Amino acid sequence: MVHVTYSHEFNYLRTARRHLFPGLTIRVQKAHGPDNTVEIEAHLDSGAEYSLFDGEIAGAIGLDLLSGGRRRYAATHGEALEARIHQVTLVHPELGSSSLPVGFSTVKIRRHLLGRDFFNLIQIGFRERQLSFYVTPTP
Amino acid sequence: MSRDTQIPEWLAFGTRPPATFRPSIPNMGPQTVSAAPVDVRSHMSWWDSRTLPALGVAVQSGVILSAYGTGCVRVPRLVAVAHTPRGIESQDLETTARGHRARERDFRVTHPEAFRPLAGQWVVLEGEIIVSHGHNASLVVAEARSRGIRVPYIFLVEDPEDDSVWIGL
Repeated sequence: MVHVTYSHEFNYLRTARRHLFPGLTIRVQKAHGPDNTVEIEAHLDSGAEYSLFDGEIAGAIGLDLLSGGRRRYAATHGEALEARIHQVTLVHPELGSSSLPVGFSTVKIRRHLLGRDFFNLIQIGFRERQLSFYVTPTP
Repeated sequence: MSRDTQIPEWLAFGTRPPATFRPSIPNMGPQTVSAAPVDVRSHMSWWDSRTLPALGVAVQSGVILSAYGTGCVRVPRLVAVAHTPRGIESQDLETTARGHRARERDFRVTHPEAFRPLAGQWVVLEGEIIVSHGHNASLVVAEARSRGIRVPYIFLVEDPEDDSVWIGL
């Protein structure tokens, strides 16, 4: 049996519609260049192969959205949306920071997703019944 | 951010933010906190020589949306103490588990009426103040920065009538 010890506990976040979801409030900033940092709430989505943020966030931190490489994200109903990849730095005040190539959607989406590429940077465990999750900021 | 405070590329999670990492709350005015201080609380008071003028500008420019109803939007408590990389360590687990920007999230949940007219828009919220809003996130963030918000906390306001459950995509 594998036992994992986590260093941080987080409660699920509550939305205005009183949904509860596992998420983190993180800072997003360009990997290089002037500081145009913003803070967003991102859902932790183990079903997402790669992280995906709304493309509006790219502009808000000073990125030229369409200058990034293409990546298509397929949803469960078969349709795919296009995103452009940009290297950004993600910062969490308790967990630390890391640089990650993140997809920014070219169409409006309603939630920012931290996918398995983000999970690859950490260890994470969910306790759905307790509406909490645990993180150790080393993989 | 100047070059000497740039967070290095590929800095792994598990590494504490560098000493030059600047916590965001109260986040009014670029010099409120220049580096993570030893005594965070003494540095994070809203009674800051740069913060109060910035708050005054916000009030004068109509940022505080009293029109949404009495008590809907309040001026932040002026002595609020922030959660910071160091300050968080002295707090109990429950507070820690609530995480960063808990105050803003609480306000979003407890004051849905303040956001109902803004459904579908991007909003920058600082404490209990709606700093800017609109359909273009870049403009919303730029406006917030022009009002002294160094690191805008931005989110898309949900449609309150939408009763669908969520999946990732």
